[in-house]
Amino acid sequence: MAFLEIIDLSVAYQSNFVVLRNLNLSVEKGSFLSLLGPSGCGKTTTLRTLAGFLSPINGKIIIDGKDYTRIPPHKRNMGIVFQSYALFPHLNVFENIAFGLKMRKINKSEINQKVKKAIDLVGLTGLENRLPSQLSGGQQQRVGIARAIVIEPDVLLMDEPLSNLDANLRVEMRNEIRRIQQRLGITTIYVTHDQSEAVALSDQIAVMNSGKIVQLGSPNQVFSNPQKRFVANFMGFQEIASGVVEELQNEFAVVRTTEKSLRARMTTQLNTGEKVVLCARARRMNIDRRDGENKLPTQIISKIFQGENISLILKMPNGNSASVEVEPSQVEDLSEGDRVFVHIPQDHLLAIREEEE
Amino acid sequence: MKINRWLIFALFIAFAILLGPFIVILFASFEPSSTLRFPPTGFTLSWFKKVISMPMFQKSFIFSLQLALYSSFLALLLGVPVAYITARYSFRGKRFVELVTTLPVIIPGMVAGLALLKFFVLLNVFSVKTTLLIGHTAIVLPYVVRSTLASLTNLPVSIEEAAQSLGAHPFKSFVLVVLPNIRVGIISAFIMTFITSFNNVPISLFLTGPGISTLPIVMMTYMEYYYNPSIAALSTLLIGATLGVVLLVQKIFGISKLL
Repeated sequence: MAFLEIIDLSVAYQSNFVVLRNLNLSVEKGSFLSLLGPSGCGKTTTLRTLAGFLSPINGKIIIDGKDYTRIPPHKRNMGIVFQSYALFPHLNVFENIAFGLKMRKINKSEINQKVKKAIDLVGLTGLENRLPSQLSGGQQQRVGIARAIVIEPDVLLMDEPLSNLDANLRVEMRNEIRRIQQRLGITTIYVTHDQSEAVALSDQIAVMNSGKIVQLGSPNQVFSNPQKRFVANFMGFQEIASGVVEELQNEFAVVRTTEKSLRARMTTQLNTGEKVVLCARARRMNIDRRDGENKLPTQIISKIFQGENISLILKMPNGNSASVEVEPSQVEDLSEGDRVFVHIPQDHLLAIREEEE
Repeated sequence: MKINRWLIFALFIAFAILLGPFIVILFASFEPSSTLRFPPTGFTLSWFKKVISMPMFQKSFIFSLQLALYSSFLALLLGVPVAYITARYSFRGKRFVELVTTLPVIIPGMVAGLALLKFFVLLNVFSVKTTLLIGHTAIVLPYVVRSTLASLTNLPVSIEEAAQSLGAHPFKSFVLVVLPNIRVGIISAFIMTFITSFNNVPISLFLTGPGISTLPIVMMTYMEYYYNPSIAALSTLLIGATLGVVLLVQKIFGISKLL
């Protein structure tokens, strides 16, 4: 049995609006798992249930072999980092961080020592006497993190901790979080809707939709080999065509689209005759003047200069539009309205089962 | 921009009706003759000496002070939990609770006084003092609920969750995290309730009994018999004391904006 086990967990608001349905998840000790999904997918509900703020209608939460399902929040040993920081406005940095230790009735000298260490770890030395209102957003979240880890929690729960910070700071804090988590080896559950954050931080990513886990895997698996249509879309793939599997060749499928047949990589086992969608990333497609294998005829709708590269919006044969990012030099002579071919290398074209469950 | 002279005129009128009566009272309290008049014909402090030494004013002043203090404390004790429940939980009849705690502000004091008289005096269970305390608590309770509710609404629930996740029992998190952060609301509620109770006439009018009366009632009764500057002197003292308390609290807590 893994360190943290969520078994058949269902959560409902007002007894009729079910948010989580029979969720199962296990997390190994010391590992970093992200719950990734759009708003309303149930990721925050999962976190709040783990924290004890919500009671499940059925299912169990087991940590280190102990059933925590009905234990109130203050008796669970969990550190929580909030999106809104949730620092105590009337206490200074030191007192905020010391709060959990005081609740545990630890003696003063030990509290001093532990708080000092935590302040060091998050890089806030010298700001011990500041009030939260006198700190920047990034500094406040550092206090939030220090306050949560200083109690040496069994599990660290983070609820979109970076989404109130500006873009540059977000990347910096993301690295900090990873460093701290690895240094301390705390089992961490991280809620986010930002796929780049999840990919950069996690050992495991659980992509969620409508109260269910759609795909669970390593960042690389989820990022490069989405198994479901929803995951592919969420991870930034575009649906460029749809068709029927004609033939299977090892890990590749030959897919007949309305236009022509294309070779695409499979991320799950498919059968001939199955309806699939073909997905690709904007950066993994090339523009070509001539027809050939794995190429589709398109028309350029617009051409947008983005600095390092150029984004072309293309009208695909099936009527959808797709964007392609290419080096400016490659498309100097092309302009809006031109008819070109888009080439998708077979490794980067995914065939994914069409039906959504 | 040039200020419109009609605006200046409106401002002047507002000041005149707000401050005028108090200025008249202030000057009248130094009047040497034995009738209330303005402008004063001379200067004396004898009316001040007189009212301070009158037992009926002394006694009712002390009683009013106690009544205001006790009813305010009682209102806090009842009102803060009510405000907390309505702010933090959703339940059936929440609107009803909100309405009931607001009623005493809407209902005319006379009606409330009469209702309380019917209920308590005719019931004849409690002493006059207890009845007054209950009546005053009821009348000031809404101020506590409203003021605390406003503070609680501005306090994110997540900080309570943070406290609980760090090992604080819900009650402990209330004491250690919620109370210090709604302190300003509670203090301003206390000042409001204290002043409201201390000044109250309609409720007290119905509920006072033989030998037990509040200062405003004694002042009213006194005025029916004597028309001399002693009431003006007493009023000046009360205004001065109230201003003093408010300024002191403002100085200590800096909460003028909430009053």
